[in-house]
Amino acid sequence: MNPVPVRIAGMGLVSALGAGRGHVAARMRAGDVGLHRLTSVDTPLAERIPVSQVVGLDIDPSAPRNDALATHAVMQALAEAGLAPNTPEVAAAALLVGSITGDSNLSEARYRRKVEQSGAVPCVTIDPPAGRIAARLAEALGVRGPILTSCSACTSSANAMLTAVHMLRVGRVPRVVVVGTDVLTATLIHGFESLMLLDAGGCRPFDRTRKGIQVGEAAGAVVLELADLDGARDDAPGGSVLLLGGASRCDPFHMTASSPDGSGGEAVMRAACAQSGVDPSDVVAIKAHGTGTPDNDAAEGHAMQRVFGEAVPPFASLKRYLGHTMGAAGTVELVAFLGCLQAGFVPACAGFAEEDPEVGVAPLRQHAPFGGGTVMLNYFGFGGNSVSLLVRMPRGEVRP
Amino acid sequence: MKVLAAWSLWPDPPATPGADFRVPDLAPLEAKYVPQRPRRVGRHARLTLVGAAACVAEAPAPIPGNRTGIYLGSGIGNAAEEALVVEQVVGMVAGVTPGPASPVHFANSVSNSATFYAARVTGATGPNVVVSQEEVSFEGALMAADLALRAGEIDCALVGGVDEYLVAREGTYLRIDLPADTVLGEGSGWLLVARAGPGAAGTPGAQGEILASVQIPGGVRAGGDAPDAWEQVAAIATAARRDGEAVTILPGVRVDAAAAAALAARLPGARVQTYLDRCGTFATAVALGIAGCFRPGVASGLFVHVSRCRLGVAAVVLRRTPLEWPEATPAPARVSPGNPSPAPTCSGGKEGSRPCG
Repeated sequence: MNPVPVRIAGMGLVSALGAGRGHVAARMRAGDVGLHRLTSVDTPLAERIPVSQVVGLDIDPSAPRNDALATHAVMQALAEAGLAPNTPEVAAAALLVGSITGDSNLSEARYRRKVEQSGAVPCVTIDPPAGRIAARLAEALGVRGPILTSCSACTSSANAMLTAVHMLRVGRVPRVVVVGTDVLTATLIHGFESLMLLDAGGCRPFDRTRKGIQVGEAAGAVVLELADLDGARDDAPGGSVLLLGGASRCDPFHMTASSPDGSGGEAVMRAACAQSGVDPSDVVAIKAHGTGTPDNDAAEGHAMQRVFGEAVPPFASLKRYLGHTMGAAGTVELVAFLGCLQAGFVPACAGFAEEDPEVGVAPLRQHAPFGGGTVMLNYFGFGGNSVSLLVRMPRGEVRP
Repeated sequence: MKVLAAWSLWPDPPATPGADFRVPDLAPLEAKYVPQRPRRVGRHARLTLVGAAACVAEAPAPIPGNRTGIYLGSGIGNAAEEALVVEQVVGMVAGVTPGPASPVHFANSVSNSATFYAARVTGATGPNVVVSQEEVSFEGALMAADLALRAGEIDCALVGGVDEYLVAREGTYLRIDLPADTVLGEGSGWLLVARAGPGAAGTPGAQGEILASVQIPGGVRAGGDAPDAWEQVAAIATAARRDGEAVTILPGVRVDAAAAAALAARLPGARVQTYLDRCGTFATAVALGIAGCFRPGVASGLFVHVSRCRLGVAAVVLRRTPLEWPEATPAPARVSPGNPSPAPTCSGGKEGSRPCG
């Protein structure tokens, strides 16, 4: 028996391409990419490293930037789900957050002030990890159900969605709000620079000349509920978007790289299909992780071929459009990808031009028409973290 | 969840009364449980590695690698590594340190670096999740593991609570909002749990069962506990309590003697057993309190751990049962994927040797 699917009742998105998945999908269809000059962080790297920074929002620089992004995304998702903060429906919900940066931008700013005031190297105090974002959000929204923050590298919010699915299936709560949020920080940008993983020209996922990632910030939110078990409503044309399930695994090959032969990625994709009651041959499109680093993309390409053989479904990475949004990528890329599918297309893999024999498979060069079916979304992170999700999109006109 | 093994690393008492608690030299434990410890990892990762590896070594049988998840709760995470990178990066940008950032320190500062190494050492390659939810981080990890077990995603989970002592005490206070005169501590507490089923607590090798883990909204930011918070906790414990069963209340972070007494008054015959006075206060001290219930010499019975955080009251109700060990059979060699070195052998841990399956 297949597990009970989960309905995505509402979605929200704030990204370098703007806010709202319809708007973001339209910009992706037009071929826009969210590359900007870095202004939210004071660093000399801003001169030569473009980033996917959220622009156009009025954010108080002295306030937690993650709170601002997350709140925007959550309010969109709640509205689409027909919910409002501080109501009994939201009070009964759980709130799960995926993030790695927390209040790091505040830590950096405070330390910078200390340094400038003292002219020396003072003691660093680090702000709380992302847990405090969830606590503040819960207070603001009136959530009184379970609260949990996943800080698991670039799969943080993808893992949070899986926990939400479990939570719904065991009947712990009637609905779950999941938000992934991460912001640009000096530590993040210089850290990836130290690993020589930044591409100053913007990322080129799966391309033969790819050099590295394009760091970004964003927030994505979803409201999840158990699907209508009457069946007709959710399976019919124009029915709901269903999160069928997924899997999470650890590929213990290396702290900063997946198994080169793709075995780690294969394991999580196969487990996700098994957990979701999906045969790989039913997958019609894939949202790849596709960071643009030589190692990740080669391993991911091999993993897809190990699962799908010669018939790898059309796939694309969204990172040239949105940047690598770290722990937020789970919800951010899910919402953006589903926005494109709902608009009737599988997005092209922006930044890709030349096939790499080392990868062995090529992503979409142009947008492809989409008419419904089951799609796979893959996420990989430092520490071997791997998550694969399966979503079923209804045919024809769709609603959230 | 049934508890298959538990292991806890407690700090030493401070030489000076009223001083903070610190875990002594980790090297002897690493030599025993993590003979090929990754080089250049920080203290948070070392505490995590020792705890996870020792807990697996205490298990009655080898863990099913890809069906075992690691769920780590940590209130402040690897703050020391993060601080180092902030110092390098911001100091460089401000012109007071040479820079650039160290790639090793940056990689180690990633939130899940400790659990990655734990996966390599133990061979637990299922979900690898770090939960950081202030003072209920361990309870959050326990909840995530319980959900994954009940949903059938995994068969076993290593659930840990680890926080390191920061020499810059200000950082700890800032992170978990404690009064500045709080005696701080550090530690690493772990449970190996499996899905509960009929008679789970009587399963050979099971040492007990986690019966409930709840968050009762309220908390310091909401103006105090929910009016019936202790009633709710008492009701859960009463429902779980067997006739004549001893009940022990374990007061955790922010639960003072008066609050513990208020709960005890609702559970006839319950006694209060403090433990923060033996490890100091830290965000995941609860992991020591709970894993400590399974130490040798602790009598069977029902245990109720309560703590307060800004979100409300958190309670964990568990039962410790008399040990029932399977007959000893040779343990197969356990080799972790990606790591050619044998994983720690099941030779008994800090708290004494036991036969293993």
